[in-house]
Amino acid sequence: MNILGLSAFFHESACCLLRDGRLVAAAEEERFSRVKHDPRLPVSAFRWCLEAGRIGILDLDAVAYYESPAEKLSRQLWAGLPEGAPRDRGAPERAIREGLGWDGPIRFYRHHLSHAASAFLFSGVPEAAILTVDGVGEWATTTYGVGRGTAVEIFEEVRFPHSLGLLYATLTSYLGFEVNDGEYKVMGLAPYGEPRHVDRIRKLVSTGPGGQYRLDIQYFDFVRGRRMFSDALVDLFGQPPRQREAEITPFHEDVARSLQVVLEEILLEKVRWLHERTGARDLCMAGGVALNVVANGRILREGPFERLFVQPAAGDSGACLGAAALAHAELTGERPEPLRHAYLGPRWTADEVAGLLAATGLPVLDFRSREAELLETVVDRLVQGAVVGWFHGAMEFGPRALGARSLLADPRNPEMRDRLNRLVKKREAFRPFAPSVLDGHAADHFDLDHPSPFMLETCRVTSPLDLPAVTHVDGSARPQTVDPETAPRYAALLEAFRRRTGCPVLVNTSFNVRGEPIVRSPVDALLCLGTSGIDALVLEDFVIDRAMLPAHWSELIPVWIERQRSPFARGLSAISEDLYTFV
Amino acid sequence: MSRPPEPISIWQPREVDGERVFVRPDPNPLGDHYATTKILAPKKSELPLRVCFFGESVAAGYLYAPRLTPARVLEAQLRAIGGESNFEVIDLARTNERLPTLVETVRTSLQINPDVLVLFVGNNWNLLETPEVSPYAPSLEARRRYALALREKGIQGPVRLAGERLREAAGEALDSIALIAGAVQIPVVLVVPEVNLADWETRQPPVRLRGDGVARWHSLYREAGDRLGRGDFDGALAAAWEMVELDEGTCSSSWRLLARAWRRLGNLEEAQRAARAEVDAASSATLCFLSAPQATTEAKEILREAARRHGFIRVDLPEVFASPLPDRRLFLDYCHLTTEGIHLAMAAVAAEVLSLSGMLEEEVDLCGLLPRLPPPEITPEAEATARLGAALHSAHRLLPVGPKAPILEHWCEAALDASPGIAEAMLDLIAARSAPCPAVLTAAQQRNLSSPYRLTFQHGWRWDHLDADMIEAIVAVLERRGRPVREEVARGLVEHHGLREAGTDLADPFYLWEPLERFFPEVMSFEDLPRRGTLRSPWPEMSFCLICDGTEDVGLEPTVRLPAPGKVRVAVNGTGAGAFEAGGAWTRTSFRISRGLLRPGLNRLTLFWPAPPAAGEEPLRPVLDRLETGIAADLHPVFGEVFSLRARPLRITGC
Repeated sequence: MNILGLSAFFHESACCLLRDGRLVAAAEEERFSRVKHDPRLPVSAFRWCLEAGRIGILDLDAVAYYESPAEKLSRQLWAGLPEGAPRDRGAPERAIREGLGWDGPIRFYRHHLSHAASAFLFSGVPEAAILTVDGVGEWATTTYGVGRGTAVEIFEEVRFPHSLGLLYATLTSYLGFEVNDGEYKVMGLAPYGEPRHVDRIRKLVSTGPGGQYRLDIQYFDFVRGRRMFSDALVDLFGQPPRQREAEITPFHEDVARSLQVVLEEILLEKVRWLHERTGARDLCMAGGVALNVVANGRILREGPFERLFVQPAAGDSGACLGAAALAHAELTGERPEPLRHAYLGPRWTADEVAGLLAATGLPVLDFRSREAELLETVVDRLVQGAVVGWFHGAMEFGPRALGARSLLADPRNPEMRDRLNRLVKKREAFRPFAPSVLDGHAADHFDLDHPSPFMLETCRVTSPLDLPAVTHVDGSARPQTVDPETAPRYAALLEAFRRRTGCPVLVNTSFNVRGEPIVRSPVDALLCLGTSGIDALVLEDFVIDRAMLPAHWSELIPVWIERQRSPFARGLSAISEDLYTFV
Repeated sequence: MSRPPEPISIWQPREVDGERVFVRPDPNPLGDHYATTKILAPKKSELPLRVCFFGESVAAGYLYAPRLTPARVLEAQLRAIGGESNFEVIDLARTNERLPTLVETVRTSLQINPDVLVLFVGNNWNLLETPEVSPYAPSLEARRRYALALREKGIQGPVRLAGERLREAAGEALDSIALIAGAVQIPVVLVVPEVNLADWETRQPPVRLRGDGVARWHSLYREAGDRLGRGDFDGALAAAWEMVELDEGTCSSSWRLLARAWRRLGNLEEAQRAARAEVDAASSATLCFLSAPQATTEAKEILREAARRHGFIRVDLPEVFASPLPDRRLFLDYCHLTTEGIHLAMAAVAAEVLSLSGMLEEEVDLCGLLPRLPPPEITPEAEATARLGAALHSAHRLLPVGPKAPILEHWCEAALDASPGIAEAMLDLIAARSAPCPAVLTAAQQRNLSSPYRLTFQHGWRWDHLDADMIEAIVAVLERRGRPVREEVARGLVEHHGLREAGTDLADPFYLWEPLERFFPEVMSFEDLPRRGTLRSPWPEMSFCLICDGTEDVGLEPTVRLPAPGKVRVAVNGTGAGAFEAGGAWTRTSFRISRGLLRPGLNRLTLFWPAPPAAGEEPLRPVLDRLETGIAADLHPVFGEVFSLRARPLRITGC
């Protein structure tokens, strides 16, 4: 039984292939098209999923789509579509049939049901409460449910326009960051501020009975406007909205902090209610807001549930997993296998990489069949303060780099955060970098008593070592625990680093530069090496030091990349970064 | 109060040593669209007379620039006759010029006090100025407008709509330029472009036709080609006329076959008429998004009319070239000029500018002037690089009704004739194309960067497909010249792109033999429109690159579907390899290709589709139905659709 899950036409389109209940492939389209958050039909991801499964289109049994187009259109019509936008509920199905060539059955599942299923059905727990929170699906913006066996039941929902996701997105926009992309930045900014504007945020959103809450819609303009917030919100805060790239002041930090505080308060309140309602010991979460790792940490520490499972691609891209799982459960009566890791994307063999490197003519270091020496060579560079691009195995599914497409560095180096920002990431200085820690050593360095393989919660740093590069201003970190079973080479690298330094922790940030999706292929990694300040690149069994690069790379590659970009990538599409696009 | 200075094109206003000048950003290391002049400054004295030169890629010297440009040739010609210090030409031409920016550049150029304006435009207008007249236009409103035109006037409706919109846009732009020039009382020289009518051909399919019209049209296409090959030119003419009747003159291929037949019959006047009709049909946005050339009859008439209306001095290249079928002597490709073409065109412009300035004797005409003009200064290396660029451009954009190899080999030979050293650049090009990564990462590009034959984006260096025709042309030419490269090239291809044990999907666009087929709306993906993950063939055949070492049989597993069940024939390197049945739903078949049909390296694998089923009396009805609800629609029938075409080596096991 081969089921293809599909998320598309909003943002972060993606595909997955579920074969006999086992997830064999999953990838976001942006990694192929190099258009960040690419919302278009994931043609490349689709074809790659089939190739990874070594099947053709005739071997598929069903396509499962992560939304109900008719219900979504009814909400869009209610909200008023932008002029010229199609009013066509058949568009997604037509695109799947014509674009992918699929003429078999298509199963449509509601957006939040897909989110819920993506968390619960892959969690491995027999029963759990389920919370999904995002901007909006069809009408629902937050849902509460319970999962038992193969069944996922949603018993309450908050409906558009009342939405915690849109609340967060609105303040993200007000603070001068891109909607659907800058929410992480607001979360990272929050610890720098004080909760001075909590009362104002509480004017924007008020909690209600059960799972309900409401936005005071006078402060928002996203329903029919061309921006997220109204003038009333600007008046409420008494400051004009921050312009993109303008200076960040204490006011902006305080607003971010206040927003985060109120979000956490509401989520904790609703989680407690959900626990009372279900009596479950486990909580499963998905939806874009479930990527708010600070809130997740508090939910786990202060909430009533014993365990928390957050699906690693908790945003819209990962909803394709849920749609596929629901179809699988309906068609077979069985539950899919638990998700043990997120390494579900494309991979390259060392020989394929060798062929590519031969064409480049680079004088690379070849460590084929010499893994221990490779790791020692990488450790040499890390302890010397190098930023190392680490490319190994199958690409991660979801927004986090987990040691397959990562930039690594020494977390003890007090200059590393600035160096990474300056030379490679070129991102806002206030944003923290996350650590990877070897399983079994996590508790020695972090207030963490359970595995955190997907880097989806924060906790206090308790390490006897000074780890300035991964410790946020409030003393927290967002660790990934690395299991030698699922990431053997990455775990071996951490162990080699520990042996040399006594520190089983590395800085692990995603392998990309600002504005680009995470690298997918060895070619992407080389292009990234050529346009950034990465000191060394590990491509499977090969090491390339910056000094080995030809002089013309730094001059020509940026030009090349710019020319390669499609008009879509260059922002010539109708999609605005200032509005949560409903089209 | 004087107006603040404004940028002139990309030249930004700056204060340098107390003087207001306009400074160009550093050129892109792989070439960009603009002249390389670093600083433009206002005139300080009466002389030299300043000519500002505007236009599109043809005017910018595409494939020669920056080493040779029409502006520089014009300047040398003016100085040769009018005196070294009496003329200067400021080059403000740019590739991909559009009408609104042209007007803006003309207006802002007044800040540097031109004495004469020369406009060499009209080569891009269909593609760049009326892209919304298309069934694939991103805007729903544009699709509906297209549908309305189609409903009212049939297939000619959108053609007329595009014409009207172009007349409006171009007329307005030229009126604005007349006002700008009139305000400062400087003359305007307008160059009416010419195109390559002899060598450039545009093979396009007809739109959906009534009844069995499509099958009939393609049958006639084959018949006309066969008759041309057999020397039966009258028969070819008759078949081609029948095609024109079927497609109502909207298909470029029919006109090209007519032009070929008339030419062979020695009637060059009729041949020219047909070739011009081909250009007009091909550039219609009705049929194809990307077509060449675009200097249509309509575009030229708009220019001539503007010259009459505003008193512009007209340099009419069709008259200057005085050839019924201008060819590769004057053109590198469809519209970009050779050194000789540039020399001749600029000589005609120079004659007018010199006359305007009173520096040319009244009795001297162009023929009299030409011998007195210096030949364009160009190094053999630059000439060779431009000619290799011509081969590349043709490889990527030419879809002839006959074989493509002769024209590619001609330009490769011409490049080697100009400078034999370019053979190394050719081999670097093949190495870059064979590499499993973009050329920019390859050692081959690194070598090319430091060679005198430096290839840029203009030369197609960035192409991300296999470039099979180009590779074959280079190999053929070098082998003919006694350089045995075939085996080495085959080895390089097999090393990086040889069939994988698990199978290689030849439906990956990288392996499409004819890259231009991607420009057919059915095959290519459009930005902002639903994307396609399948290949849909608008032509009765579709070819793929199969790369192997030729020592083993190859297992082929096509997954295809047809408009109606039928038989798909397979050929390898032009030899029949069998056939398989396919249906209206996806059909997967296993197929064995004998190693006897294969050779080491590149092999051309072709699928021949059966004729599509007959359409009804309203073949465009489904198109209208979609367009009127705002959904993009294909005007062309699809012969066959490929989901995947997996090929893998079949190991011989046992006895």
